[in-house]
Amino acid sequence: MKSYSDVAKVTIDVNGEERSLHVRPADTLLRVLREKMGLTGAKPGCENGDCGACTVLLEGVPVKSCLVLAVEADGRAVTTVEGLKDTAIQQAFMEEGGFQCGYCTSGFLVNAYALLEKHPAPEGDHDREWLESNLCRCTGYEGISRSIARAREL
Amino acid sequence: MIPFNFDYYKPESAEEAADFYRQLAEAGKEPLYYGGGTEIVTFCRQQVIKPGALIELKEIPETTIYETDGDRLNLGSSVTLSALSDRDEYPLLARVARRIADRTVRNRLTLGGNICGRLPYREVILPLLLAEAEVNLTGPDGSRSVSLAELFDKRLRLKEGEILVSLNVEQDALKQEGWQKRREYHGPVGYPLTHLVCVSKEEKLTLAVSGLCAFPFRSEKLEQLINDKELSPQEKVKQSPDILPGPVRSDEMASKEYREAMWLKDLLQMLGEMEGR
Repeated sequence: MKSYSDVAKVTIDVNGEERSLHVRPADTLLRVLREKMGLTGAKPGCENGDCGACTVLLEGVPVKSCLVLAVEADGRAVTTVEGLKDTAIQQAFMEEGGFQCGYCTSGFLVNAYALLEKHPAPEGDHDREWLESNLCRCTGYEGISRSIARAREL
Repeated sequence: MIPFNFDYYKPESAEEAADFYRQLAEAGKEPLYYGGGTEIVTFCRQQVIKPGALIELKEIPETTIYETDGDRLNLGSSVTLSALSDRDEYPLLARVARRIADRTVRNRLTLGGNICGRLPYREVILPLLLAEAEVNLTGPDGSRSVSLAELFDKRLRLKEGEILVSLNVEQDALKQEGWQKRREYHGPVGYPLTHLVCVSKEEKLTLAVSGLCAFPFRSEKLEQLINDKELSPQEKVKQSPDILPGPVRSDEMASKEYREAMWLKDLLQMLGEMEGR
């Protein structure tokens, strides 16, 4: 049985790079990414699982990193917005104005990237169901929806 | 951030987890079992709870199953609500799971966590109560199987240190289409004001409810009332508040009066659409 006490060593594959570091079992993945790895793309918004600004992929599945303990990611793969490079969704966000103030953008990008991986073609109400996970206080949802549609064309 | 420390353990079997729970409890560590973690992380951050140790369950193989065994579907307690909502085998459970929280939270929320959590809604239990599911448990004193109806009274009545390993449902129950209505204050992503799930079984209606009272319930008295052939739907609805198993909730989302009004409206709609099915 693996156990983690006080300050424990974890090894996480972050954006394809193996990173070993020491964390408290009570540290959230969001805090560890930002404060120990210098990856500030995942944003602290509500830190209560509501806003989605901190969304990352854990083994390819979008999750709110404020609700994940870093020890849970030990031995697993995490993708942050910094790990998305030259993807269709990033290009589409630029073309369609998928952001306004930009604070929510990294969460939307990561979630939308996963959505497009799982549902390359629009199908039922999947887009709406997935995007309900993220809040944009600038209410830029139309631009975000257009960006997802555009990304499917690229 | 979570402003206190705890230890974290990843056991490899339910037996190991239960045995370790007992050791930690005896050592005064106040352990908690940990599934998806959404509720525990939130409550730890708010310092509503201060466990000394968390025992992770979600990698234990017997809690991750989603498989048919003979005439029953076995559902491990660590199956996420997203996985439940994406599968076709149990449509009513999928519909209920899809209405809880949002997609990325459902990617973490587990069947067992939703049923055993501290929040009063525990909505995923509604179709399982109507399906008369069986529950498989492992604790410091061994394993047992028991009917959900026997174990559930406002919440799951687990013994100290017992783990909800899995639930199983008869194949016949999986086919029940049912009727479902959920009302929220904050739009689709929000806690329910009321959530009704109804299934017609052998020409009788069965009903399970969340949000209305401080706990989810299936009520024998209520089912007798809604199946009374002598009463009109309007009369059944009118009598229903008097036989609820607890007071109607009143909170920042909705007053008691508003919740009750929504309950009466939805119950009448349900009776209209389900009677004669």
